[in-house]
Amino acid sequence: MGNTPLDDDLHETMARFSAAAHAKPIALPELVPPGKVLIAIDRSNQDAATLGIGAEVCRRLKATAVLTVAAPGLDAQTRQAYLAEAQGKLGVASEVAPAADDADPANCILAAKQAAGAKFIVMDAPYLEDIGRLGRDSVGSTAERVLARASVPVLFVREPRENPAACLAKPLVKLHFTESDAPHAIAEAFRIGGRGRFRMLFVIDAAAIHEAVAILRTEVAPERLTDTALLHDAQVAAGSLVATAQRYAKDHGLDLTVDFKLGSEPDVSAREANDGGHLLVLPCPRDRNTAAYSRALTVLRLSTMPVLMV
Amino acid sequence: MTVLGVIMLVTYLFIAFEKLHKSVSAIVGAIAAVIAAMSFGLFSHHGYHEVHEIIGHDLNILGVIIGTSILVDTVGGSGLFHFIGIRVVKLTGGAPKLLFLFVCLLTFLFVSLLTLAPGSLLMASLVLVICRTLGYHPKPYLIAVAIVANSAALTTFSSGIATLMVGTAAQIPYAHFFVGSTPLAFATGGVAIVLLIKLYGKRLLADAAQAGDPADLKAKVAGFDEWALVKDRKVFWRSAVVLGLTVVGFATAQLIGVGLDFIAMAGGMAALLFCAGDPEQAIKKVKWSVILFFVGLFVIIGAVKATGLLELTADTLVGLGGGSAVVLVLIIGVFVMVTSGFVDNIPIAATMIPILDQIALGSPEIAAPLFWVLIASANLGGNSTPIGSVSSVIALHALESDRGEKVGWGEYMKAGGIILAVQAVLVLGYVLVMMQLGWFADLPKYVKG
Repeated sequence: MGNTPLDDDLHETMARFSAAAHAKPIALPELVPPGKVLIAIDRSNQDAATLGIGAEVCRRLKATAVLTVAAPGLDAQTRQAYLAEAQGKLGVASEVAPAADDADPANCILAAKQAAGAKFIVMDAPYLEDIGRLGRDSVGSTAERVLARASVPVLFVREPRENPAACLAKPLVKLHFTESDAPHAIAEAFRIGGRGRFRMLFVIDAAAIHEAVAILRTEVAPERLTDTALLHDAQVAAGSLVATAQRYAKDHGLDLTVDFKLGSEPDVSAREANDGGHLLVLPCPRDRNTAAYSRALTVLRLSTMPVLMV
Repeated sequence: MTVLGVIMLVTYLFIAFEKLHKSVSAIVGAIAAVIAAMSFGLFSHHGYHEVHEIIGHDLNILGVIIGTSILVDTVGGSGLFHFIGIRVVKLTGGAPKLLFLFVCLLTFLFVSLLTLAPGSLLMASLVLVICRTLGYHPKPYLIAVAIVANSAALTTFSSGIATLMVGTAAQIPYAHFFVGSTPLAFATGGVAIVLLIKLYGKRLLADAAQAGDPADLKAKVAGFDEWALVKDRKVFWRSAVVLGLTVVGFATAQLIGVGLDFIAMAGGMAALLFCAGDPEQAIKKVKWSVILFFVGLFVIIGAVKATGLLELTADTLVGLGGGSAVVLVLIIGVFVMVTSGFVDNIPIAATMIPILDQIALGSPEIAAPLFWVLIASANLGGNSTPIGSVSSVIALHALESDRGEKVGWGEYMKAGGIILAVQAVLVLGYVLVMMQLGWFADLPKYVKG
């Protein structure tokens, strides 16, 4: 296709029709109720937010909260007192995980999850606003190691804020076009969002595409690489996921908005979540050596809103 | 008079042969016309300000184009039209003749609602995608889009720009269209569909037989998922409501005492406000080159009108008719149909409007048939050649872009020419019979007293 204005218009309308013509039905997985949700606190300034969100997650998933405190060097009495106080604040059925004999907080959390049989983790990823940007942008090694080793969804609490659980009613699912975990992330977002308002976000990183084309030495007509053309092609690529999610939303009477944005993927994803006050839901492969894992961590670093890694 | 006449003629030739971009041709022609008119003292009353008066007189047309363009772009973004398109295609199960029929019907619907260019673009895109997916050759379908679209432009006051221009200039009430042109839209559209199926039916079947097992094709079509096009269901439904209200607004504009430009602008703004429209993007999508084309054209015709050339042409036409309204209708119908095949129907309609206005002022009893025949001929005349209408330009360009395949004049005229010949008989017959029976309502603008 050439590059006259008429060609651009044709490409745009054809892309929309192509999305429908190429959409393949995708089954959203039936998610098993987690039964127990592990809420890991660490005596940081984020604990109140973690408890608030953890309790709301338990309500939404009809699960029992399992509390643990992952703070090294804590004596048994202080630990018990702290957990008892936290239990009092929760307001949902809860139990306390047995103390793990390990100096590493990540190991403690994973051991507690294992012992309790929890299928969902809520914890914080450090958000140290008083040490400025460096702190805000860090995730922390504990969060990273739990993410890499946990085989269940992990919800990371970031910036402490008033009514931290409000974001659960408006999940924003950030998806890649090729991700095999996407249906799981969509299903998880629908489950946790309840009757809320849902957003699905696809980010087109034009710079990355240009680089890939250069590396692959693939002949691509320049007009296919314009921002507009990439946006249109992205709609075609996302057709199956969009159709699946919209059908689910229609069948269950839910509000779902689908957005396609151009830009650096982690920046755009985090900004959209932060500006809109969303719970950010990300499919995240647990293999640390993948680009998708690195990108998910970068989004987590940049996000001030809670992030659910599926 | 001669100089301005030559400027107009040369401009039209440039537009017809696309020696320059048609907007550039029109604006350059307008500049030349203004210089000539001022040199000859034709703008004696208000000087150069007469140019603004000329443009201002036709501002409503520009308002409708801008408003509907914003509306269509924003509503289109909701996936509404694409959703309807895919749903309808799914009903056909991919059966070639049924698909062909539904493509024709959908073209008729979209053009009636959205006007010629956006309706044709939508259908050309749909045809390319469906044919690619099913392995059908898109040529017959695209030719059908090109031809049926021109009939659809007759459906209502607001279905085509030429229709709108004539309707506005002659101040034709919206309801009159249901007698004057809607029956012609259905009749000529029906004739076109029947003839197209006769012309391409065997080819469609042969093509489909080569494309594969009908059961596989049916399964492919059944697999289309129209929900892939919907970004937000609330916006989707709001878009349907805004579009519906705009259509109702067009139908009732005269009753409530506003122009169609007001309704189009209100519809466009409602779409931006309630249908998650992006104002920057929607305003960018307005075909500003078309707006410039119209401005240039209006100025040229306004300047030529000031010379008295158009009055002279009107008198000549009446003279050629020998005082017979029947002959006059025939002359105008045939002339407009033939010229609209070679020159954009917009300049033809724009030029004929002041001429017919002049005739109608002298003979109000034939005003209605003259304007109805102008509307039908200007829209259908484009069927005769591959460059005759916006729909054929879009459809054939789509074919060339997608397949690298051109449709020659001979090949196109074999379908379009035959169809136009039958349509011409229908149009002229209908207008003449209605005129003889006195069944056309008088146009209020020309009713004396």
